[in-house]
Amino acid sequence: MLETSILGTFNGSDQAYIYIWLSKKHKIVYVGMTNSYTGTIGRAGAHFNRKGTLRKRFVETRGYEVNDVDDILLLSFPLPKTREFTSVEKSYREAVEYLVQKELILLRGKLNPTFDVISWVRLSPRTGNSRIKKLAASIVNSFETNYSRF
Amino acid sequence: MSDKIDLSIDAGRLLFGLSRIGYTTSAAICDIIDNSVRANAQNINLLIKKEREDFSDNKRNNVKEYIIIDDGDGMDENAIKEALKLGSTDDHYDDKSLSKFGLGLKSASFSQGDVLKVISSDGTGFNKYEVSLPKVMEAKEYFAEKTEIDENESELIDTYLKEGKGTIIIISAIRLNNHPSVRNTIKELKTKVGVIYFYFLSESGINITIGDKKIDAIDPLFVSEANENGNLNENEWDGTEVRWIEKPKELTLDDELQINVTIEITQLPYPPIYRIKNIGESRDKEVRERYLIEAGNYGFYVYRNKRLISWASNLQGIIPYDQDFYAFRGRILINDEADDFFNIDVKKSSLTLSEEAFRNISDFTKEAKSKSKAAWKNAGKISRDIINKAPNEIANKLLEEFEQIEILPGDDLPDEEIALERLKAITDDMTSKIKWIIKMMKEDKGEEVDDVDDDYTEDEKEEAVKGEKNPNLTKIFRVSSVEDNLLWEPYYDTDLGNCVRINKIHRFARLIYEDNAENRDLQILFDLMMLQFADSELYAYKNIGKYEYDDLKVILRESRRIVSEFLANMCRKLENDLPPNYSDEKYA
Repeated sequence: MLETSILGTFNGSDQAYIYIWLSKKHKIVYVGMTNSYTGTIGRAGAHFNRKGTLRKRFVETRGYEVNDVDDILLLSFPLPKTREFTSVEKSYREAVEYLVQKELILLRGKLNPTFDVISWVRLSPRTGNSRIKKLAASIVNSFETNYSRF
Repeated sequence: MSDKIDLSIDAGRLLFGLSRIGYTTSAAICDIIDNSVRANAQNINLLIKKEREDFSDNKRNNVKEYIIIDDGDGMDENAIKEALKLGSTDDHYDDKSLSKFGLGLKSASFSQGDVLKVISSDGTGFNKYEVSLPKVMEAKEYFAEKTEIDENESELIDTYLKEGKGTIIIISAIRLNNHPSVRNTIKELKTKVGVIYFYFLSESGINITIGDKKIDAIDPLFVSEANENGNLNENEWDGTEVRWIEKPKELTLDDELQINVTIEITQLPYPPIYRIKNIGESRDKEVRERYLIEAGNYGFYVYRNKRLISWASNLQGIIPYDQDFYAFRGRILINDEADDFFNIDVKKSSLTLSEEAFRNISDFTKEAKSKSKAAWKNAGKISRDIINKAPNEIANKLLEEFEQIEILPGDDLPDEEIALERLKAITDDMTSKIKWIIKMMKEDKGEEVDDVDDDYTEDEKEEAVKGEKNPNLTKIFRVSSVEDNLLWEPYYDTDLGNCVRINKIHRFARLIYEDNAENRDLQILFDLMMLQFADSELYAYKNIGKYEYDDLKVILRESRRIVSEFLANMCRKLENDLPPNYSDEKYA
């Protein structure tokens, strides 16, 4: 039997997320964002279906299927419950996502085990916004602080 | 146990081969200057002697000798012999050495001429040795000859090495087959030496002269200007200033081996803006030359132990061959510990990244590349806007004489008391909103803001409301933040009247302003339409008395939110099909 706790990751009705897929054994990190009604769990389906971006990037980077990975973790970071972050217009979410990915690239050499960031994210014109920078920094900080226990 | 067999070397052919590994004249001279720098020289002089002194410097194939003189530590007789060996020892090289293979002096010299002479003294007297490529080839044996210092050489010692120590390298019997002119070599060296030894010239006080001209340090990233001008905002940058894309950051390539490199990236000016910025000036050529903006100069400058080893590298495709990256200047600082990650060639002029280094640097550079390209394009747009007059200003100008209809047919004019009440409610709402607008503006500029005090200035207010201080903008403002990130919002104050603030970062606005930047008419019409939407909302607040003001506010705002979201969704779903990408063929 496999037990998976999905507490707090399926509700996207008024909540957007930054999420990180992590496999320490296979040394990969994938950063994404979603305002999906079904939260990060709901968004996961699209990443792992046959044409899913995570599945594709994983094979491209590692040379084997993500199906072989047995330690993959989904980390979800709720964004503020305000319209800028939950709206269909996604420049605020994209900016946080971009900064998180960028910081993880800078950070990875210092973490053990190190990892490759296999997501591709778009540059958002809002990456200079101080509130967004602060949010991204707190997500990365939380990731770094907890990395050893993942 | 295996048997050893003798595989003898033909020294002549080996040396000949080494002389043909592809040095340019400037790269060869720089490799020799490396030895001078390593020998702690303070003054390095390059003299170029012509075959025919009466011929112009522009004439090709007219160089007789290259002479490089330095007042460094110098060498005694044994050290000269050691330096002339192929694969000379690295016993004397410290950790910060610029040397790598012990081949530089020989390969660089014989790439230009057939005879290499070394005259040097460590304070104990000058000795001279020379190696001749034709003689080595004939004898099939690598050797040097001790020769007498002649009159001209003594004069050089008296002029440049009065302290009795230092080194003179003379490359003679220059191969006059397609050899560059003196003028071109000097021109190239001025730039190359200035960039290659930027740190030595600017920090260590080393003087390098060519003839009687002192070479100035050139920072290919123009960091001092970036420090004055700050970070690049690719949506605002007009191309006139150098800006930071990435301030120096340490990137770990291998944590176990402790291999760290420092990367920094700047954006150089956009020359075409200088053709039109001030009418009649046409300074674009001057700007291109000053900032070295041309095809061969964009990309990464890799410095090893503070000496440039790779000029404007695209790092195996990390920086694409694309004119939109002309202003992109990156620098990677490494020391010799990172050599295995950068695989440097003998000429110290190119490198091949290891897989690990490629991946790390490629990932790190993604954002910087996007920013640089977006900024270059934005500067192009600004440039075009200046030429064509900004459509936003035209839209505002069109409204100068325009009067909105006061009351629509069928609507009742509200009585004075209600009208005043409504106007006060609108004014109060807008007044309380100003502080929020200023806060958003400051956050967009990267400032940390808790709360905005009441004592904001009129200038701050104007910049926040309009997105820029511009007297030509009177009604329609393109701004970077609108409440809840909607596409537009109405704005009213007693000075400006009814206005619209358009969120230029909203996906639909970007479709109009960026993707369709060439379509000026579309932009003007879009701006005008947005104003009518805002105007109609304010009309309803003022004049539709049959609904409560607060109810109207909620309903109209919700309507605005839904429209903004539907438009964003449409852009997302039809991303590649909307104009200007639309094609008749696809939908025929």
